[in-house]
Amino acid sequence: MREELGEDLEEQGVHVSAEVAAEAAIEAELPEVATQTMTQRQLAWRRFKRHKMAIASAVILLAVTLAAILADVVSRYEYSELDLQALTQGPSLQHFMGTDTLGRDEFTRVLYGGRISLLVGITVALSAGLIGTVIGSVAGYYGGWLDNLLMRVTDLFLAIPFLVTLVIASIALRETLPTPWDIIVVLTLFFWMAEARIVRGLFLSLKEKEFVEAARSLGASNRRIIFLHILPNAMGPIIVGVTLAVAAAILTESALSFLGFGVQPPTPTWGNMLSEARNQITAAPWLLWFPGLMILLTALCVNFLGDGMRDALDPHQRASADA
Amino acid sequence: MWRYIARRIIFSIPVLLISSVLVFAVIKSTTDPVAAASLSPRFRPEDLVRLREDLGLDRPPVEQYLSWLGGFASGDWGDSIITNRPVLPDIRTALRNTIILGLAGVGVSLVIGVGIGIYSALRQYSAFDYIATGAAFVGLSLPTFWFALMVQLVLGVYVTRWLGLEQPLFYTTGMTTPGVEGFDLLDRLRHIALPTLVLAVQIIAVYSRYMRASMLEVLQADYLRTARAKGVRERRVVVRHGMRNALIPLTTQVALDIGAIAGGLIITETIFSWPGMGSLFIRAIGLGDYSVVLPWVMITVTFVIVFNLIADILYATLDPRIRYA
Repeated sequence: MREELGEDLEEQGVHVSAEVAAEAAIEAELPEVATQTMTQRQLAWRRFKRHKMAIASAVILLAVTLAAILADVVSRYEYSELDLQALTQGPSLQHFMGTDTLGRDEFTRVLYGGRISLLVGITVALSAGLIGTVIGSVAGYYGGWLDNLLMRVTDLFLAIPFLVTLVIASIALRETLPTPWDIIVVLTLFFWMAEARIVRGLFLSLKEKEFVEAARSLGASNRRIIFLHILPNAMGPIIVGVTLAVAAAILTESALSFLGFGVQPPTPTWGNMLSEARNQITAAPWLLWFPGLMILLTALCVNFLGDGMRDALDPHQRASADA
Repeated sequence: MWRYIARRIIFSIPVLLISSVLVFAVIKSTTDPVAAASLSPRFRPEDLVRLREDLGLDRPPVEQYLSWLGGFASGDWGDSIITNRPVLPDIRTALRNTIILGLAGVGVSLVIGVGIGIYSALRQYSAFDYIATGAAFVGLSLPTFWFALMVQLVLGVYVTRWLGLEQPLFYTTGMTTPGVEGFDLLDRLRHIALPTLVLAVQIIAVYSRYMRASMLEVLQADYLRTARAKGVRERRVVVRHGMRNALIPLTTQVALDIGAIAGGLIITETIFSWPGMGSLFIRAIGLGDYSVVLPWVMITVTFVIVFNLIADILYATLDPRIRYA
């Protein structure tokens, strides 16, 4: 019986990659047959589950996102509702996070502000990730003058101090009172470079691999090779890059709003709430505490999540991921 | 090597030109330098026309840009079109102040970050390592401006109140106390402490992670085993053979960071009213003063380009395995 099983495994072993075999070896105490049937996705999920901080972060992020989306259910107040009986009051049972100088409920405003911050963060990361992936794949796959041109453009974008470009771009929008969508466009324009470099690097190394050569010798078109053979193998680092970009985008949006160049009041965002709180820094410090802590909490959770996803999706990078 | 440097410098000229054209175009198309004057009841329409002529604003934009560029390249940076102050001395002073603050931040971070990184690597998976890792994550996720405000609130206001002091231990704005004559080191230190702290917390987070990773890599290197096998004392193995090699990647990062200082301290400077490049930029951009913003952008971009180059050269010089491509 046992011998039969061993032979069976050996037969199957031909089909599984070295990585799966290595994973199987680690999990020696589990029934080996079960390990054999695990897909790459299941393996990644198991690696991710080991990362306790990432799991906790995912739960917190989910809670924050839900609370922000369901803000009008979670809170009894409107974000612009004035309570003239309770101007500039500290946290209490009626107002968990206190009220601002106009008597607006800080908790409600933090929830609504979260909508903007999360919307901007996620949308910017996704769209910048898409642009970066396209530019990086084209540059890395085709090489030559196209690669040179695209990388010089990337260098140009990287050479100008980041906030400067953003401030100048949002001044261009100042006449029209920038909406969150304007801010998303502006941020996206200056967020794709890191992803483009990562993807270019991946394509440079992957296109030399044997499986690409095999596909090409079978007559696969460039498009087929890029989308079906290289891109799926580059997906891990791309997803990790996008995740980490969410944190960076949230931080940048809040900084931009804080400097007064982002989404304008009365629409609350964590950044412009802090900008208003700055004037009451000693009189109403709670106005400073809560939006800031929410930015910190969100960015921290996204970073932990990204770290966990790197361990799960990009195991080769682990050594440098510890960096 | 000289060919490599020359090629990089030639490549950087179009980058400078393109960024200045972009900045000029955006500022020109969005802000009007005489907007304030045109609202003032004391200006007659013909005065406005004269003002525009005096400032050269009636000429086509391309001509304005070229005349600015010609002046800039020949060292004549002219006067601000808004404040009439000569541009060059203002930028020079601002740049000096920014470099002081930036180097203080990078310097402090280097000492602490390298220390934490090495210790974390030597005691991998110890309690210290976990705490340092967690702290670095917090440092990387901190919104600078919020942290700066909290530092002002806690260290500037609360501590002063708790200790019952009349003067805060550390000042929250400016670079010197108004009225203090000459160079008073203690006064300077009490002003630079808080902005340096704000900068350092984030940079330490990056440096300690960097140092830990490269130290872990070096600790597994064959030459370290060789050194131990030769009977070199552990301390010497770690410092001489380990740390010195592990510092190489960090050197590159430090060079890049120094290059980013010139234009990179906008938020910290704004919050602490530090009279540097960041404050100058925010003021000039608010006024639509392209005569200040353009040279400002040229200086900061040049800094980034030059220190990028220095980083590459340092890397290849320190690590003989790297060769120029």
